[in-house]
Amino acid sequence: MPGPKYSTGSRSVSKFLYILPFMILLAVFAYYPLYGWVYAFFDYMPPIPLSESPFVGFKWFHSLVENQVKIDQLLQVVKNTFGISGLGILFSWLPMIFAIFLTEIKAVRFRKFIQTVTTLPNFISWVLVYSLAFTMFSSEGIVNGFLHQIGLADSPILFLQSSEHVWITQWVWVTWKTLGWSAILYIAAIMGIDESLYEAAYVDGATRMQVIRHVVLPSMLPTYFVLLMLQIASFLNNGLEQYFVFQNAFNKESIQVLDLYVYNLAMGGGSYSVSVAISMLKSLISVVLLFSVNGLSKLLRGEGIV
Amino acid sequence: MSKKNKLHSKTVFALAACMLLGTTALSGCGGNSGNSGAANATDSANQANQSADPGNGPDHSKPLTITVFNNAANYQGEQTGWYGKLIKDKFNITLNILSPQVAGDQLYKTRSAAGDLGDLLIIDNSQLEELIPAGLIMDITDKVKNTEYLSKYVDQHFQPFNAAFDKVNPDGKIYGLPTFVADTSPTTFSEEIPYSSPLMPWDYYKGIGSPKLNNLTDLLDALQLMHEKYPATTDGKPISPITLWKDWDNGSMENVRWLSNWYGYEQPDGTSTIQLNAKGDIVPLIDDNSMYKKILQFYFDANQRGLVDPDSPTQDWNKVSEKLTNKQVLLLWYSWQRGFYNTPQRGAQGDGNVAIPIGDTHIIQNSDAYFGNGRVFAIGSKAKDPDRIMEFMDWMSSPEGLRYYTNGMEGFNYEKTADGKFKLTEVGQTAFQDNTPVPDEYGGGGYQDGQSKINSMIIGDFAVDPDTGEFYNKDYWNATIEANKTTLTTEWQSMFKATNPTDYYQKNNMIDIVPNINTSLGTDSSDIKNKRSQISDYVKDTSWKMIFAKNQAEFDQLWTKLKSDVNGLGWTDVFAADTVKAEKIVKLRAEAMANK
Repeated sequence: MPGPKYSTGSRSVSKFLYILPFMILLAVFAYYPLYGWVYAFFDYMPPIPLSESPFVGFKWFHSLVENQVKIDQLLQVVKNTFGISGLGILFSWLPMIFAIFLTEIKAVRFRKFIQTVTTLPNFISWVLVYSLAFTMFSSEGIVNGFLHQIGLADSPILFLQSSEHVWITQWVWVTWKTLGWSAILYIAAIMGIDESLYEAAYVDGATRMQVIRHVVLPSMLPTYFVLLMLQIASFLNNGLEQYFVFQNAFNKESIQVLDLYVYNLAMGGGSYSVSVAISMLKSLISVVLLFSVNGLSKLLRGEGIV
Repeated sequence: MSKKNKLHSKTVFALAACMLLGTTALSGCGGNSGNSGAANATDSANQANQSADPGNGPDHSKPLTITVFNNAANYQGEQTGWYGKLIKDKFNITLNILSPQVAGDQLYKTRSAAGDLGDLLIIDNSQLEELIPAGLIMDITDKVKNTEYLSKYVDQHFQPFNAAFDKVNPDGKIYGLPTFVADTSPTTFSEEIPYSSPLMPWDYYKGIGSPKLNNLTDLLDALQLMHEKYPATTDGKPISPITLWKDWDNGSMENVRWLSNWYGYEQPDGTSTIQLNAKGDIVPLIDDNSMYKKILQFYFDANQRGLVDPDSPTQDWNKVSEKLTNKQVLLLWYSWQRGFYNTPQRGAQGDGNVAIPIGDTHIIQNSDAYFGNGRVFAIGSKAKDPDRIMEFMDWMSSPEGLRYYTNGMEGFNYEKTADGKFKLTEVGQTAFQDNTPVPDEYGGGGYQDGQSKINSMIIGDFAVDPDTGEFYNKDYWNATIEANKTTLTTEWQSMFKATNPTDYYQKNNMIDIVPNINTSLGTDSSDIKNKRSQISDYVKDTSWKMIFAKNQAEFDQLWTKLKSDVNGLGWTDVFAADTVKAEKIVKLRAEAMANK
């Protein structure tokens, strides 16, 4: 079929123009901010501009690990980050199972209702989630009132300032908030499964559970692995809003994740340079993680992600 | 075929786009927190607007919008209402207020890093000290000297205040005008009650037989009795004898800090590791005998007896003020806490929060803000029309400007009595609480909504109005004092044989009035700032844990760990920096006392 003839040169130019906007975006939002890293090497205190700030070399990096107390603090923060993210990854199959069971519900209205109710919390901001938590779990809250009325507790149970099981409680909150939303992709994947597979299974006399196990689950695994990989990529970015609103003196030791630590340092003490130093460390750990997962992927599947 | 190919390539591009965007989002959270993105936050209309010949006073024909960067404001936006109309009519000025309290502290950092904070600045002393060498503050020495009202304060107040910033101001120029300056004396305390002192509901205190309180143990006993007798308000809300909140915490735990004042130890603003008494002794917070630890022990004991509100660690001041409004708290310490519940109507029935002195207390109290109150008014070096701003500040400090600011409008809020003094009108007594609508001739709107949102003044309300010979502050007018002689006041007066709490504490030698020092204490290096912030966080967290510790052993163990861990966070350096600051305060206090 004859079409307009392009020389290879002009073809590559036009293809290049297609991706140019995204390269510009990438340069502006991903590479230009790296320039901000120079602040970690200066004693920067606004309003004195960077050009007049003294160069201090690795002073701030050194100050992060200069004695045992600080090392312990940093290790605790890293431990919290890994712990909370790890819990998330450990239970990353939950939305998938939820989606499978949800689609098994045959009463359409009921199914839609459940789906709406579980998806809705995703659109509530963490600040509002906290005020909800406060109303429910404070000493005068609904839960304590109920426990008191049925005679299970004489004095109020202080859920919010408990220093125990912080990671798990936080995981429960985030799961409550995102379960329905994360299930959407899986529901879409289930809808995409070829009807003939089901039919064949039923003809062969498979039970409902057998269909799930041998038809639905295997068809979902590719989706699951892609999402798992994305989750690992953002291993260190477990956000700060959630932990920021829930933090108090009692749970801080277990709730302070890297992002929150950076925020507390920069906004609490106005110490931009130190915060930049920590966030640089964070990028470093991210790169290490990325390469190790990539290596693992090569080892297991024979091909890398990047 | 080619169509399919096209589709295919479109999909590939879309995918590539998504991936790129994804990477952007991920890598975008690298190390850009030090980047100031506020260059565009400066004002669009920033061209210098030449004013008319200053000899004849500035020309008002052109409208002027002043950008006010204001640490004191808790409102952000344009000044509206009756005060807005007043200054529009008088000076053709509109105020556009920027408030870090509303917008967050980073507003200061981003705007100052961008090189223009605003036209009129109301900032902390320490910020003034940072901004002068950065060239962001205008030298107003000559402008102040040419004013009608402010010029009177130059020699006694403004000159010495500015000269104290000698490191950044070697020539003794005038850059900032201190706030809430009183014209009483450096050693006078004019208020009727100390800032921090024990306060309780009068009717409940009488209800348990008005026991004499000799020490903190008596106080706990009394609180326990009261709580047993009054476990809930009349409408069924639970009462907590002691309630604490975390959002005021700064260098240390604020509720502990201010109770230390009852026993003569204060923590000066700008420090976080020391307490200071009237004699000038400097005690480290983590000393085993520090007042800070004793107050922690007091709260811990209270909690062991079930007297501390279990919501304390998770609630904020808004929630506390709600509880105060409902009379759900039995022990108050901050003089303004009374105002959430006390009203003249309740006072007439003997109901309200009053001072209940404790025998062994010896309060430390700062005198009137003769030298000012921690913040300054200054003009930004890029201000559009500095002469008109100066004229406005001068008017704010004139009797007319002060009356508008503190008391509202004559005829609406207050009126002249036969003897030439002022008294509140019926509307004026509750105009603030009720946000009473203002007549259209003044601009309409609610009275409180229309008050000056600058929320700060150069000359304070403890200055004497030349026309009446009384303070500008309406609570201290003779007419107001007469009107406030309610059952609550008279009962209190007859029991404690004093006219007011300050009088009681002074008569019984239970208070030290120390000169209020308002000066440059030097700026922290970023090294100290950084260490201070980490230590403060640690001290605050541990303080909260200690109060809610399960038993004395846990309390002691937390204290021991605190003492050793803060050393690793740089305690010695921060303590040394704070000691220098405290020594300066002690020295200046001694000088002020000597000049008495």
